[in-house]
Amino acid sequence: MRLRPSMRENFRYILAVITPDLTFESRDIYRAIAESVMSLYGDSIAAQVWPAVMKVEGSHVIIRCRRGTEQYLETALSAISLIQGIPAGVRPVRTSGTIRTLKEKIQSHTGKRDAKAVVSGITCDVIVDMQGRIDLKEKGIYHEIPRYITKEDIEDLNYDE
Amino acid sequence: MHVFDGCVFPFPSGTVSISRYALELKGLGFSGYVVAGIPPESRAGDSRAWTARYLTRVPARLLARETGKNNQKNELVYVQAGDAGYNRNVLTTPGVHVLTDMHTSPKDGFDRYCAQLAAERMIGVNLSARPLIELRDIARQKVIRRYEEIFTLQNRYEFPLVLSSHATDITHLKSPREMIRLFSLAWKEEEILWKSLESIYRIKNRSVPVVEV
Repeated sequence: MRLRPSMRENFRYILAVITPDLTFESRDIYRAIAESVMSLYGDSIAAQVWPAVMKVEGSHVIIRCRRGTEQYLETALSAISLIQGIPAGVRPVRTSGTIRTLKEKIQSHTGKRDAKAVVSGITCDVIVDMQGRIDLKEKGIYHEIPRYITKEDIEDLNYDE
Repeated sequence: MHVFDGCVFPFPSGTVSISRYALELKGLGFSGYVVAGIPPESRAGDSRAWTARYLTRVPARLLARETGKNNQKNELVYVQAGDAGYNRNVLTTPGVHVLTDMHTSPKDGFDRYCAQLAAERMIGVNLSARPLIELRDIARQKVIRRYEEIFTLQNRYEFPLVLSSHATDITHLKSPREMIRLFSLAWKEEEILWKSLESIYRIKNRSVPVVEV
């Protein structure tokens, strides 16, 4: 149905960051959001909120909701613990009336590099970001060392070429 | 403003190193945090991180001895809640700073008498965001109801509430704004929730004598 501009719905857009820095398909993120909204508030509020994933860019995601329901959606996003069975959190960062404003806030992810780090005498494959965060890669996890570390925790770091 | 995450568990209890917690929590907007499950010696250098001894399943008769160990180490003492009788015992034990894991205590485990004791002795009552995230359906409804009861008692007796993420993994960390949103499931007044994020700072610097003479 085609509506006059004054009769159209007003939406709000929420920029959220997925932690840890993983990339998911938009439908997987949508399912996690829909499940969270439904389990927290039920069908009635879920219909009012009308969440939709507008854009996924790396670990950033822009989610749409009806104006006035932002708080419901933010709470539901905070309550997400799994996406497609993988432990992950969705952290709301900013709310806006336009997608363009949020796109400007998405930081580029060019600063990530693969490396090999020595932690407690164990050499493991890691991903290093510009802020000094170091994440161990899935296959290189040892029980003797933490998975999420910083440069303070490592003894040596060699970037892969 | 001193916005604190009331409790995080670094490696080996969790998967995150302390320095990484410091980096992440600073980025999220916290001015400090409480680290549980590590010796205080390993935490030197970061004034924003306070260590806590997290006492679980301590028999009532051993409480005084266990809590007394911290006096010279400048640690906070968190004690896991139990039934009403046990909680009263904890709240009258010198040296306790925070009563924690309220969602695991049985029904009526924290009554108005406990609330009164907590208020008089400036002992914090810790509410964790983790059950709100990890539980589903009836289990989560029970936790929300339990938290609502505690907020109601807090509104009446004004004991300090301590909000925490109880994070063991990076995915469990929440920003102050997210914490407010999650706890608003149980209590709508944001002013009380913001105050609760600051209360561990007040508990640590309380003027009420911790050890009764």
